[in-house]
Amino acid sequence: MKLLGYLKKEVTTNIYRFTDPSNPERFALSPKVVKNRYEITDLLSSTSGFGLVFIAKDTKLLNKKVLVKAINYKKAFNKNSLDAKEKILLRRKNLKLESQILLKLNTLNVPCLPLFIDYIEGYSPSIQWPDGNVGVGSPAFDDLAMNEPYFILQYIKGQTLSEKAEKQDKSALSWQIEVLKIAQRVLNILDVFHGGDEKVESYIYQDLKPENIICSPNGTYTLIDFGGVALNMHDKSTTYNKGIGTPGYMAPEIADPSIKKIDKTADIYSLGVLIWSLLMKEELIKYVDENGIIKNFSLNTIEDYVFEPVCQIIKKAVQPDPKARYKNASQMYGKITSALQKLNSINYVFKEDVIA
Amino acid sequence: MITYPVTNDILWKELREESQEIRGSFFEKKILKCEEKFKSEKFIGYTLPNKMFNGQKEFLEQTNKIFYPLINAMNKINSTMLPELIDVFVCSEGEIKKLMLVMEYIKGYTLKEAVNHYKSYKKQSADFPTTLNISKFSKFLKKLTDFSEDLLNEGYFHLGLYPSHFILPKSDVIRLTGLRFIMKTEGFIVNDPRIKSLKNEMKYSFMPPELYTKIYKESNNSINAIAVLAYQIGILILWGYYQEDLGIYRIADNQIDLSDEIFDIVPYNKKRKVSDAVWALLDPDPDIRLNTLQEIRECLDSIE
Repeated sequence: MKLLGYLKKEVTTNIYRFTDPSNPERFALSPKVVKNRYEITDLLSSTSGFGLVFIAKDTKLLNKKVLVKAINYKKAFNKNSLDAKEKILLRRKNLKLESQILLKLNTLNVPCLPLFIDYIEGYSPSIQWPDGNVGVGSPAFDDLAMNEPYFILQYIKGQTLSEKAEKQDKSALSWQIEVLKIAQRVLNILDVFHGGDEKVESYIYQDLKPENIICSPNGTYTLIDFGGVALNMHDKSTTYNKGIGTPGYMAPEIADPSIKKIDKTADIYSLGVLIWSLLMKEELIKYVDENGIIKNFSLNTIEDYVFEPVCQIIKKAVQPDPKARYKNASQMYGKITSALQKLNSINYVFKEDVIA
Repeated sequence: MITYPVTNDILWKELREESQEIRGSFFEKKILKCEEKFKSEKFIGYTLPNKMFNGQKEFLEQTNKIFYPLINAMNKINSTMLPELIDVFVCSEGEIKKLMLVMEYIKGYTLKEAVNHYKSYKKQSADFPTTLNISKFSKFLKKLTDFSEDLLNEGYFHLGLYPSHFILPKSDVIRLTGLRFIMKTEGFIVNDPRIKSLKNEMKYSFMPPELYTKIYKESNNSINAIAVLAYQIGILILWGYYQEDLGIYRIADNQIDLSDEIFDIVPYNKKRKVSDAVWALLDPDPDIRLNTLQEIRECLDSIE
């Protein structure tokens, strides 16, 4: 995983300030040590909407590398506004929920997820110094500063799928085969997600995209970031946490506020777009409208070099009408298995030709 | 339930009944829970058994010798195939204070257990295939090769690549235990002095002759990790067909008798390819045996 390249500066004996060298307005504060155990070393990811992910050393386990997920308060609240405290508390509730969802998914033995290691509450400099200028001006919300939630995750070695895809020849048959195999891995995960448990009818990942999949050197793929997971509770007509997604990858019903309940086919849609984007030579963003939804979807972008069974899978998965998509992960998995058999036989003939 | 004294903010509790069901040849293992933090999730605690030492001082020495290299190796390797370290704490057992290493509990069958289940199904149903699907198995062995390469790049090697150490969770992911068998390497040579501590712990049938000589006859020969990998993959192929120990085919100095008879179990259409591969992988001389990762991968391709 590439680091953001933020500059780390010690601003007090217990606070770091990470600043984007190209834009000093982009910054993040962190405690140097979380709960006397996890020493922050770098900023790995910073999405303005949701979270900060730091790399840290677990000092209790001989400096084992871990990830620390924290709340990104950038522009989330104004310290003078009346509802600032409510906004802070809501963000905290969401982070806690994310940690509980990950723990639940670990308990359900969902394959290829990072392990939840710990949930702790500790000091947050971002609450006291929301403008980032530590020591300048009066601090805000001293009473909230000491019980900021953090959760600790397994560090996964590897690169994101988007980093991996950049280096590939999109028209190569071997890459098409690999993309289908990756899709099968993701479907294995989604299958368990969608099955839910005794309390939750189904978990919907919602935010499937290449940046959220880590490819490790030993060939495993890990799904990361659970801040966007939506919950369909038994006997409820609305989906909790609906509406989180990335432009281009999110299904139309996720972006449509008039639709209150989404189902597992929202993830099928995102996976279809993910396969398409991994095989397309152009940028996906060219096909995204102002609402963040794919406009003018066309297989013309890939059908010159992508084999027909793969095109058909993408086409079926990205249907705007959820009922027209694959019904569930196992149905799509079956279609991909058939496509892989065809592609492997073509690959075999190619290899034989080369040898001959 | 035993409540261990709290040395940090995680209060671990042992599930004593479940602990009794897990075995390990070296560590004492406990199933642990912490409902406050992890609800119903289980973890596994590793500690050293009392029989290994006399008194607290010796225990601390043993702990330093065994736990710290293990933690260091796991931190450096950072592989998703190995269990994740979670915590370490001190607990009291009688008068002795012991260190307990808490790790991820990997849910799933070991390859050995999976095969035993498979065998029992096979007996019940005539439709079950009676022989190993070597194509699928060779893909599994390629993953082991990738894993070993990953370890070697970090200066380590897992000497215990055998069925009781492979755990198969729900997906096609393979996880590995047997962490004591992870040894330091330099330039693909296993140079970890702890190698001799594996006496009586390694499975005979998975020890190539040069490793057997090194451990049991205390020779000074160097151990090429990739040649050991080739040998263990060769044994795994035979194990895959026989699904049991290959004791009857073992001859002097821990070599396997590779006469035609051992390959009678392989279906006719695969026999030639499998026997060629196994001969190349199990050559008793590590210099003649396949000893590059590329050669091993090509060999596995040939039987796929």
